[in-house]
Amino acid sequence: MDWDSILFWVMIAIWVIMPAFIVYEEIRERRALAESEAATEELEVANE
Amino acid sequence: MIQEIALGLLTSGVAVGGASRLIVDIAMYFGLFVIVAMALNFQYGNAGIPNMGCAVQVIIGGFTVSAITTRLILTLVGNAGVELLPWTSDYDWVYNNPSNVAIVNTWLSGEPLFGISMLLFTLAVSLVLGAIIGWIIALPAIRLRATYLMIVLITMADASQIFGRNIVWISGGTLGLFIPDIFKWYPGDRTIVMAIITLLIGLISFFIFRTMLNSPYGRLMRAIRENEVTVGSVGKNVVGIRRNILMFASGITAISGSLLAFYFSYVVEANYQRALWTYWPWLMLILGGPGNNAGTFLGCALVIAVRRVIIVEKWFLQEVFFFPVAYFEQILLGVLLIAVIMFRPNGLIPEKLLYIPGVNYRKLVDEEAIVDWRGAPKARGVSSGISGIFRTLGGKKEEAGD
Repeated sequence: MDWDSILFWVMIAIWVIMPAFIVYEEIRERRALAESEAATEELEVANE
Repeated sequence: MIQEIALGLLTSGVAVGGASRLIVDIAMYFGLFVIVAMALNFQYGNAGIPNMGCAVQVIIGGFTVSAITTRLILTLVGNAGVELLPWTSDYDWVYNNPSNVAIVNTWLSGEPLFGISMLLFTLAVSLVLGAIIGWIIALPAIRLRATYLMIVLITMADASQIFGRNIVWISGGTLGLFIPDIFKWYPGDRTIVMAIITLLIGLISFFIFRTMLNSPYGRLMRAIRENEVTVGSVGKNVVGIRRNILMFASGITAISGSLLAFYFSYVVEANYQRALWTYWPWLMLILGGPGNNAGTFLGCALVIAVRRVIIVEKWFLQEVFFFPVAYFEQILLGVLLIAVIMFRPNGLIPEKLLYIPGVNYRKLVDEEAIVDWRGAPKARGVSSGISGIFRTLGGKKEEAGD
């Protein structure tokens, strides 16, 4: 069995998963942050 | 049937040579520098500690492999009845090293468990030694202001290389040492195995740093970065916290040095130069954006890809440039650094405001906060100290750090 080729693709998969997960996390956090900021602004407008 | 097709697809057309060889090389260096740059981001990006001594921590990992693991392997293999050449004196340690490693490698080809256990042992020891060296370099330096701290750490990086060059029993002095191949039992190219392990460790360290930065301890770190006087005035042990951050990050950084040693199967102090293991990670951090793991990743990916292509394709590039291509890397380092600081001082992905997962901002603003200080724990020693780090990693919340 050609283990090198299998492990090569495993390595590529890990390499792709890493940044994909980090980008997903980053987008999720930025979206949540934007939502919370929008909610705070709404509250401030309502209080005024 | 499906298994056969999948196996056929996986094994088709890829042999580790040519372009694939370059990809494995880039992946390996990407994994190594991700570990170093994320640890640097943890120290500088989030806690404001300008660690210009990353090379010290990386070199400790390399020295762990050459001075401890190699000795341990030689001792164990000798005890197993394998005939080795003398290696106890400095002279024998260096000049009999290639022959001894060749003998040990033959024995290791039938001992996969031994090889894996030596890898785990090395990672554990380098983690501990890295933390100890972090504590040692913190002793004189941590109370200094940023600029002086940077100068002291730069000199320590050079000092560690000088130790390695002149003390033969550490890493064979200027000649270096061959390292037993712990993946000799693997029938193919062991560098792919090393690249996978390195990428996995990079991923794990990302999760560890992410957990810590999203915890009360992470918020405390950012508070120290913004204004350490204020944090100190509310009773936090700023020096202790900074020392612990340096120790923790040093331990993680040292792992990359060990992985590099196993990747090359060779340790020489010249592999752990200050420019490579301090300035390049700094460029990655500044290019991507400090205080931001995604930025660190992006910076790493860009810089590593460009660097490895320059190194591997230098014969082609030489025809394009009018100056020796050997200088191109250093020119790139300087030009990129100046360009980023001039045009994008916050990096490609600037740091975002702090988002605390699970906190309901609407509820926080709507309801009147009632704080009962009588039940609050003592300010000092709650979130500072090693126990604070482990408590954070264990997922336990603490109130004083908020």
